[in-house]
Amino acid sequence: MASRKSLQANRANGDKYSVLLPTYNERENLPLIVWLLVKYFGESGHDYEIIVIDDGSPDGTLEVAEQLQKIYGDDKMLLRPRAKKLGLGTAYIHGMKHATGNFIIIMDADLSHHPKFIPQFIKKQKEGDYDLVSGTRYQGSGGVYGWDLRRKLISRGANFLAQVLLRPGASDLTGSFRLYKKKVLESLVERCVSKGYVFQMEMIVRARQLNYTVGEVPISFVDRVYGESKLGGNEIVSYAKGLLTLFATT
Amino acid sequence: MATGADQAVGMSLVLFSLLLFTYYTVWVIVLPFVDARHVLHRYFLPREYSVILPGVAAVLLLLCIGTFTAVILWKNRKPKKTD
Amino acid sequence: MTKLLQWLLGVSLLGAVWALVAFDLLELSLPRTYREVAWPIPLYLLVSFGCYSLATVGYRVATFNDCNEAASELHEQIKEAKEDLRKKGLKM
Repeated sequence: MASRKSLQANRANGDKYSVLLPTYNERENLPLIVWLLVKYFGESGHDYEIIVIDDGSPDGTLEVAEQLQKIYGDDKMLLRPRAKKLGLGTAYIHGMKHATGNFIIIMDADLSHHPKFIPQFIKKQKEGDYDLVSGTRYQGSGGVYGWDLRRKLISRGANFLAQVLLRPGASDLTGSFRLYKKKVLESLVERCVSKGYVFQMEMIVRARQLNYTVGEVPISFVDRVYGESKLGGNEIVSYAKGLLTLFATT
Repeated sequence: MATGADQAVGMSLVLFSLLLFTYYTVWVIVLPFVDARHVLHRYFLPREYSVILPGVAAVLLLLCIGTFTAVILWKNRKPKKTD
Repeated sequence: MTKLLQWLLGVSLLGAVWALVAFDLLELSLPRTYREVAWPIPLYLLVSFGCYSLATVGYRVATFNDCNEAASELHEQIKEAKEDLRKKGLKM
């Protein structure tokens, strides 16, 4: 184990990036996201691995993942399926146990997060030796494709409220496209208890609490190409609940 | 870039809040220093309304938020009946 | 200290200062006009904050990037990827 690690540490600049892809019914998207990851990591030359954590999707995501593993090799594609749908936090813990990289990249497998930003994340991380680099839709050239006015108003309002109440030192609290030092992610995940949108928010807030440094990279977020993402009353109320909980407890 | 309609709505929100802020500032902060017979007073309601109106607005806002939350929670409760 | 406590502390400090001026607790014998202005200040701050929030959210909605190029780039790449993956023998 140690010798394998040191061998990898000598390759290129010594850093290895493990991409965690939690999936549930992403048969259509998984091959595409993997293809893009391979493309951009190939171009940038960084050492990497992709870890697919499938939560027992009934649509056959796992079979597709197995085919991809044959195509790209099992040193690049690792499959760590779980029997049923469990929380996002435990998916990260589960994936991290098998990760050999010293950095972990977390992203959605639904193509809303584009791998072309990963080289920018890596560059940003090196610039300030940041403990975590977060993609932001709310700053600079960042933005979102596929949102109507209502959605924009709600997300801007929700984000403003969170900024005022929590002063987290990061502009995109609910985004889930991030790069972590492995140790940092480990210590954060074990502290976080929330679910859904609020989980990502709690990660950033806890990071500030523990005095970790946060860098930001503007990203363009392309809302689900296949399938739909929803934002209704339920999402708003659970967001508010989570926000107030963090407000009172951190 | 945002689309034209979204830009228009966003910018009119900005404009509206700037106007509101200016008007309210003159009303509450400047007016007491202006002579009571000055013509400026004609453009403002009596002073007590500068407290009553925002108060009513705040209560309405809280009521809306409360109703919204109650409706959502009530809807959630109904089909499951687990807790 | 939690954010909630920080807020409570800040608000009560402001409230104390306000009470001192508005009710002239230190008997500084401020002019009547000053006290008249001071009295609705808490509400004034609230209204100002509301305006500031509304303006900020409005401005951010107006300047929210739509990323149309990103979407069309992605669609191109999806086509390319599907072709390439088929060649590599992936059965979708």
